[in-house]
Amino acid sequence: MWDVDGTGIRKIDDDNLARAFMAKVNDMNLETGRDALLLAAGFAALPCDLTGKLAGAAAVVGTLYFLQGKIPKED
Amino acid sequence: MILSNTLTTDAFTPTPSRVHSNTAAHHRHGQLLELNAAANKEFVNDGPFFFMKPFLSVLGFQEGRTTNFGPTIAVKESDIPSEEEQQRRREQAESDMTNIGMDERDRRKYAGEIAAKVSIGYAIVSSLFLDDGTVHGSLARFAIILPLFFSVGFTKSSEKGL
Repeated sequence: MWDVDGTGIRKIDDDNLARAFMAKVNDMNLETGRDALLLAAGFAALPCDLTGKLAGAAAVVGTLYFLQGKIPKED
Repeated sequence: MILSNTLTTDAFTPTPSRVHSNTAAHHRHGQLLELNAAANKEFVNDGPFFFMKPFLSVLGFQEGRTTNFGPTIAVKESDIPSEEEQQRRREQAESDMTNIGMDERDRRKYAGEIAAKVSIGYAIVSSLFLDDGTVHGSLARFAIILPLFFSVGFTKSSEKGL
């Protein structure tokens, strides 16, 4: 099925095209699962000390970023 | 098909001077029949995600509805373009090998960005508050796979138009 012409979801009439799409979508889904798994496993494997320090620094930088311009300046 | 028929006729004409070549031609004919059958067989989802097919209609993936951030909503009559425009879009999608429209790609890009921010937020929170330095802490950090999956999935879908 595809949803490309503005009329909503439609069956793809050309079976060869449908087959080509199925192969492409399946490849993409497998790639997505693999990439997410690798990233998550890599993050989980990092040492606790390192992630703690990095997260602390990120929290400080993030807080400063979001507070930018919101703290009134003293004259 | 014409080539196949020519070979078929040629292969099964029993002239005594061509007995040897007939065996090879017969084999070739069999291969061509298999190729034709493969090319003409009806489309069947026999890929690794075939098990999802029964759930698609339950999730609303049926004609008359359109994808919206992945799930579906009813198509508004007022949004349906002219026949010429529909044809143009189908041809464009076929040449680009995309099966979702530009609007949906933009929506998925946005959803991917939101999921990426959630992933970053979870990475900070899990590292600061959930990770106690044990295996449980690592597992808590590994749970980032959920927002990451959506982030990577929506972003890839947006980029590839699939």
